[in-house]
Amino acid sequence: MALMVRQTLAGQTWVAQPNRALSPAQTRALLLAAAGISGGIASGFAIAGAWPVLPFAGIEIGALWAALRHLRRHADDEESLEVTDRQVIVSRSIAGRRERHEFIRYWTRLRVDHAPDTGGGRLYLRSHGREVEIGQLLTDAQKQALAAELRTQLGAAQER
Amino acid sequence: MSHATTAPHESHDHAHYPGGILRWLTTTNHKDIGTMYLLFALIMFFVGGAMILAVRVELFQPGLQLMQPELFNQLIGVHALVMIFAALMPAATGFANWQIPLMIGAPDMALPRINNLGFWLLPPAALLLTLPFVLALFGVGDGAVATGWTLYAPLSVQGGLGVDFAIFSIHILGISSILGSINVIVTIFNLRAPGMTMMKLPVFAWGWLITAFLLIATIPVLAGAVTMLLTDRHFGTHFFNAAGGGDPILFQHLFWFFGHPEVYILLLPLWGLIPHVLATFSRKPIYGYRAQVYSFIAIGLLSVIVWAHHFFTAGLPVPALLYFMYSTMSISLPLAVLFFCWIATMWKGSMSFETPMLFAQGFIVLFGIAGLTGLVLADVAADAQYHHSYFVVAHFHYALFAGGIMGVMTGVYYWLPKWTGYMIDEKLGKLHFWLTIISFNLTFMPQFFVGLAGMPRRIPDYALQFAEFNAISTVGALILGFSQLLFAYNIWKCAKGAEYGLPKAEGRAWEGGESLEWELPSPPPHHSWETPPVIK
Repeated sequence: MALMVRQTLAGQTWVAQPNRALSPAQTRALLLAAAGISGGIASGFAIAGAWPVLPFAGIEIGALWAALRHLRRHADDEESLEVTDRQVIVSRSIAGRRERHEFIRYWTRLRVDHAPDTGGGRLYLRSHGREVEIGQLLTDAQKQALAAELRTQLGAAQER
Repeated sequence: MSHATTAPHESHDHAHYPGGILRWLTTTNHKDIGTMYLLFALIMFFVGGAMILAVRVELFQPGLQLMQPELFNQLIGVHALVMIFAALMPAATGFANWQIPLMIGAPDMALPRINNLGFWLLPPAALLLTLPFVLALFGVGDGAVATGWTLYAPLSVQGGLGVDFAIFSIHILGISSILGSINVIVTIFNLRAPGMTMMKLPVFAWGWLITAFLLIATIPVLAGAVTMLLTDRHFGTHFFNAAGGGDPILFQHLFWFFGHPEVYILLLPLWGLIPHVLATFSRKPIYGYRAQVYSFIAIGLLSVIVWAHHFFTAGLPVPALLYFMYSTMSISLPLAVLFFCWIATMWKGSMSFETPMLFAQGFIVLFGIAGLTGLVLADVAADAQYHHSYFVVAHFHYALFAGGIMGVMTGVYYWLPKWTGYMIDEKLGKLHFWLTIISFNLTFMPQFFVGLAGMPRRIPDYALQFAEFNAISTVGALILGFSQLLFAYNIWKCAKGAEYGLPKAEGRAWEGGESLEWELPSPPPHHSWETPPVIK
């Protein structure tokens, strides 16, 4: 996951974006290759009389297509976290849906929800009974780094 | 300002990690799912092992002592299906879940919910496979599938209720495998960290990638074959019935078109993991990265064009025999490249012999024997003698126990410190290694000899001349089977490292570990937040 930090006059902004290793053209090529392999084999067997292989190959390639389409929809996901003098602003775009949450910096607390046993965890910003999960696009190590940074930014006295 | 977001897992504000069984049912965390896959594989390894120990005890001496041939046939077939589909494949998928995201810098697998579904399809499938044993006790049906794992028609068309259970079980296992491989493919292709080009992928990820493509290529063929079997059994079709214009040999083509790549599906992830282990304990970089990757690709391509060597004796035309003989033998070329690279990785290295390294080296030696005996079987003329003999049984156990299960053990011992945060008990691990490798050879080496002498496989009784070697083999199998309890105990001990006073593992648990996962603490910590921000 790419995690970028921008320092502006107003404050600091973290921007997280998912890894997008494949371009749309490469995604298409991957799907075509898989369909070619699977479809070619299934057609061969269909010619030899085993036509029931064909529908299974079709279902499978359909599933791969759905998986790749799901990822493409999320390719432009982005989350930014801006900490200014007075505010903490979370804005993000997930599958084309935009949302924005603003908190008053002084009242904002970071809550870390540790996954039992596995070392993972989730980060939440909370204030006035509202809670928003942040850092869903980050790896565990990046979440830890971000949490460490946010604690100093939000003030150690407010930690829970 | 707005209220809490709409993402589904945020709706239940504080119970984000449900406890108890619900946690495991609903988890989408790649580490949780990886752990479940590995534990499931371990349990099924003991289930499949118990079945075959009963078989080996029956074979301790000639004559029928313990069971009737019907039960014997069921046990050998279900043993194979359980070990292949419910032990080895889930173990490899468990490795993929745990390690691929860590190794390529992704936060999780690309499709976490599909990942959860892929796992939870496995227990019902395993239940379907073994349920007929229980049903038979209550007078329902005549036991589990008794055709051997290959389900050859027309025997399987005539078989009892167990065949239907096996067919549905295979369908479910196939769906699970497809979901797993789609997940691996999209994760590796799409979620690589910036800068990680395909030729910088860890070898392990490459091995899994080829496996995933092989699954995509072959599972529909298996699904089609068992569906045709089902319609032949119940819906009046004649795909495999010569009297109705069908062709029983077609089933063999379909089955082995899946079945041969399946061998590489099981082994490629482990061939991918072995170089990491060898490099770590030789304190050298992996030798011949590109050569190994290209060999994986070559093996993947060759594996789908050699299937008929499993039934040379079925009466194929001579040109087909020649083609399949030569293409099969050509697989030894990329495999030889792999062996060379493995040995060259260790060459002049500063080697140490911790448990994972011992298993990796045992893997190389014993898997070498599997490869060489495979070449013998690939020879059409020789195969006429060896086909359906115990030589084949010995050969594929050298491939799938020494190459498969010992490869899994290598990976488990290698990564356990990363997963649990505690070093393994080396003394116990080494004891497990030596017991395993000695008893493994004690079990299967004699089977080469009885096979060469003409003992056919899949029989509960045999001629007196094979008695000594079979007795040795059974003793070996019992030692082999019970020493695996040490493996389970060692895993338990490592997981509960604090209680047993095991030393804590550092991030780089093994001094020579170079790949990305060793940069993270072991286990990725809950409470230490000292890491500086990652700025790219």
